Amino acid sequence: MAAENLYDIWARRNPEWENHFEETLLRPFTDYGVGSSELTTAKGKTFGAGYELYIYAFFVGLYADKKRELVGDTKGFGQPIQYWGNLDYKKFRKAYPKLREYIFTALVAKTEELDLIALEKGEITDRKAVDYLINTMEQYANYGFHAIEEKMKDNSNYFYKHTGFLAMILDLLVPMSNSSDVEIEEL
Amino acid sequence: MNIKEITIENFRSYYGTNTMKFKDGLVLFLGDNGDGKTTFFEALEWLFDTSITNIDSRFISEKKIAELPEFESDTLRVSMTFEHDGEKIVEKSFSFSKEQNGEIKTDNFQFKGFYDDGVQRSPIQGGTLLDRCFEAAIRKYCLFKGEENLNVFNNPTALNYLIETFSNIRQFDPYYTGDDDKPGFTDFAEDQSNKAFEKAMKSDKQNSQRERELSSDLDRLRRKLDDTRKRLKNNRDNATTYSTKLEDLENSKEASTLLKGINERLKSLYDKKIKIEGYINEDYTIKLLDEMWILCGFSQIFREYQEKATAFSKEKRKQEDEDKKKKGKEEAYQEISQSLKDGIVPLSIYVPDEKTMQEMIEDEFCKVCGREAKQGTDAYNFMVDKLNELLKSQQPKKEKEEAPLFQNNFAKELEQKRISLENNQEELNNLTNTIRERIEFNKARKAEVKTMQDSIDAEEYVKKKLLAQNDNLTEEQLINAYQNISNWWEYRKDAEKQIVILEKEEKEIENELTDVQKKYDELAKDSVANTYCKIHAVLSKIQKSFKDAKEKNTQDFLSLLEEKANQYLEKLNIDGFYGIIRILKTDDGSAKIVLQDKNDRFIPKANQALETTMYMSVLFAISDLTTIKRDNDYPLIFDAPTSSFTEGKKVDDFYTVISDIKKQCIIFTKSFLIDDANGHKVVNYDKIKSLKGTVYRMEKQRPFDDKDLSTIQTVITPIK
Repeated sequence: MAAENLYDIWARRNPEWENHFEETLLRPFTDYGVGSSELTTAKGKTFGAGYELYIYAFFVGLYADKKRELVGDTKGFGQPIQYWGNLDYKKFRKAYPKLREYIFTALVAKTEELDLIALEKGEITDRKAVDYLINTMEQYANYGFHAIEEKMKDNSNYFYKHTGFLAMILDLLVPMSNSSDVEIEEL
Repeated sequence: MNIKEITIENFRSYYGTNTMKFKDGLVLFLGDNGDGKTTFFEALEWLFDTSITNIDSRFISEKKIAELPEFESDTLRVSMTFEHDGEKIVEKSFSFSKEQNGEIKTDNFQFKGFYDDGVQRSPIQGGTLLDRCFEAAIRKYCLFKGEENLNVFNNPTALNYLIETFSNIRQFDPYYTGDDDKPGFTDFAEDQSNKAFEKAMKSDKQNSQRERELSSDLDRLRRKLDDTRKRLKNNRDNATTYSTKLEDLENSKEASTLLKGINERLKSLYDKKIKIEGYINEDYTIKLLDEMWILCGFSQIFREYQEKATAFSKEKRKQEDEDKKKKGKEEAYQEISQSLKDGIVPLSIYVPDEKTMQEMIEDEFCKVCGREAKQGTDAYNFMVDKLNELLKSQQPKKEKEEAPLFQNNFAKELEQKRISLENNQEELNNLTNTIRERIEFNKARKAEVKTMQDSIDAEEYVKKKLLAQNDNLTEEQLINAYQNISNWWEYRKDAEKQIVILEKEEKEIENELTDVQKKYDELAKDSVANTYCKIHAVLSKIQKSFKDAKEKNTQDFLSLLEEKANQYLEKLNIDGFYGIIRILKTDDGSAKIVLQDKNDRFIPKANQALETTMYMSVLFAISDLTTIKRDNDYPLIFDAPTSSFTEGKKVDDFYTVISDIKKQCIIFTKSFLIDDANGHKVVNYDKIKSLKGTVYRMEKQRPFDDKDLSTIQTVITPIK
């Protein structure tokens, strides 16, 4: 009988990403590699810890419903998912631990390979089940990272505007929410 | 040092021997233009000049030359008796003689000094004695010719000279200068230890690749920082220059009331604009996470999860039932299936939960289907059975004879997660509206700001026009002036914008540099260079301490100077407006004396009298500080310092205050002279009466030929 929650096992993981995003995205937009997160404001970075851009990239992939296999060298963050969004050390920011649960539910919903009945019967291990979830997460995020890069190729200044990151998300949701990207572009 | 007596012999208009006695406090020499005030002052300047052997025949009294028979000689002499740890005399002289053709020859230059060694009067070289008792550094702040030379900080090196001479800052020189060309010990030690550290790092083969990268980064960042600081300095200079120009212009305008109105409106507009800007929050990216805006499209996905989790739970229960059935556990199967129609899968035993079930049984009402379930009815019994089944499931399981179909219970976890997140559904569905509202709100505030900015631009346009119009210019000049002002405005705005950007950039580069330096230092940790790194860190800290202490010392000195100057300024301006003196140290190390009001606003064009008083206050303050530093007092000698003062109460008050200051203050002035019935200048004795101190009248002996210099002779008469 498994004593642990699937969520807890998942939250102890460090999802991976393709190494090259460190130079092209994580360093320019986050404190990744800086060491101290105190410097965010002074350095004018958009996000704090590296995982914040990862979460963003994940949602881009999720809303586009497009996955992309990771290729080449990969690496993870220093903090496993269970600490994402706690922000205990950060001034002027608000913690968002609940977001982890939503990510988890999205993964459960979107991971077709995961046979829940088989898991419940013990035919596959919880570790294997979480492997599937993490795989979905990584592939969505990987698609998201590539999409961000593409967007930057078209317009290198796109994400340096206040509205850049929000607009990309809203654009993906146009069919769902009928929100107009023109409206936000004007700001 | 206190001057006791001055003798001037055959120096320009001072024919023959003229001796004046001096007391403490104020000594006034009253004389009209050409009466010999400046000549007296120049005689003193000549005496105090220890740098050269200056025999200049133009100094010789024309009257004496005219009277001197051929082949006869006489002497030009200026001597001063003074008190400075005992009585001392300094005397400068040379002889002159008339040759056959009337030519004047000079020789026998002497610069003598005498001091009382307690037993007898001993001779000493005059220059040496002066440099000992009245050193050049002090003399620089003691003799002032004319009103326009009172600003002692009008050359770039003056402040440094003052600080270096009279503060304790020189004591830092052996330890810290911050100057690469003349390093102090800590500069040298920091530099050498850094070189040693970098050398050790370079020789460490293990880290050579990374070392090269980091040290190239360090070089690049240092150059960048240097460049940014230079640009920052240029922009600061520009901002100051154009601000001063515009302020000067503003203050010189007659239309000051109109300007005042415009400025008030501008201030209010700026204040409003800043307030509205404060409401604008465009941290959209941060809100994506902190406010979970990123979930704005999540509803559909959450529905998928709900369906999947429910389907999973249902499928599990179905299989469980089938399994039970299959394994012949008919009893349990019957219990459930009897109460439901064939083929319908019952709800999970956790739904509704234990408390809800108990509540419904107590109320005899099924709150799931919304119907009564009185005791004894099938519905009531169904609820009781369901609760019992739930309670039974919570009991510790008896050892099973057989393995259960499902070893895990993740279904429960997923169900619970579903239920708990369903509570936030409304908020989630509303996110799109929240985002839209925030964007609309910011948009509206921005529109307001834009309106404010338009009004500001309009006011500024009127202001520029007004400034240009009031200079009595022709239309063409007017257009040019307007263009100039507009340009200054733009230049200042550009410079101010640049300053903000560059300050941010400077901070960023500094942070980056610190990061890279940290990495560089860390690289040393496992190598032989570690010891060098530590030594450098320590020496660097020591250097910084010296730097900070030196800056503090300078600042303390300037604060003290300011404080004292303001005390004098207050005394010297009895009832008029006077402001606050500030001594501002500029980036290039020079200083500016400025007046501010108590709200820290500059008073750019103080009237000349106020400006003079301000400079004199600073001079008195400097004199106080030199007194403290040298443990001795020094006289202040001014030639015509108050020529811009309008005669009357202001002048009287000014001298009354100075006569109260306990300082020997020798002033040559034409104040206190009035015209008599013949148009001749005479002393206004009524006014003199109230002054404390010594007063001499100096005037040209009558009669004289105003076209013949050899008839001019200054006569000095003590009158008080």
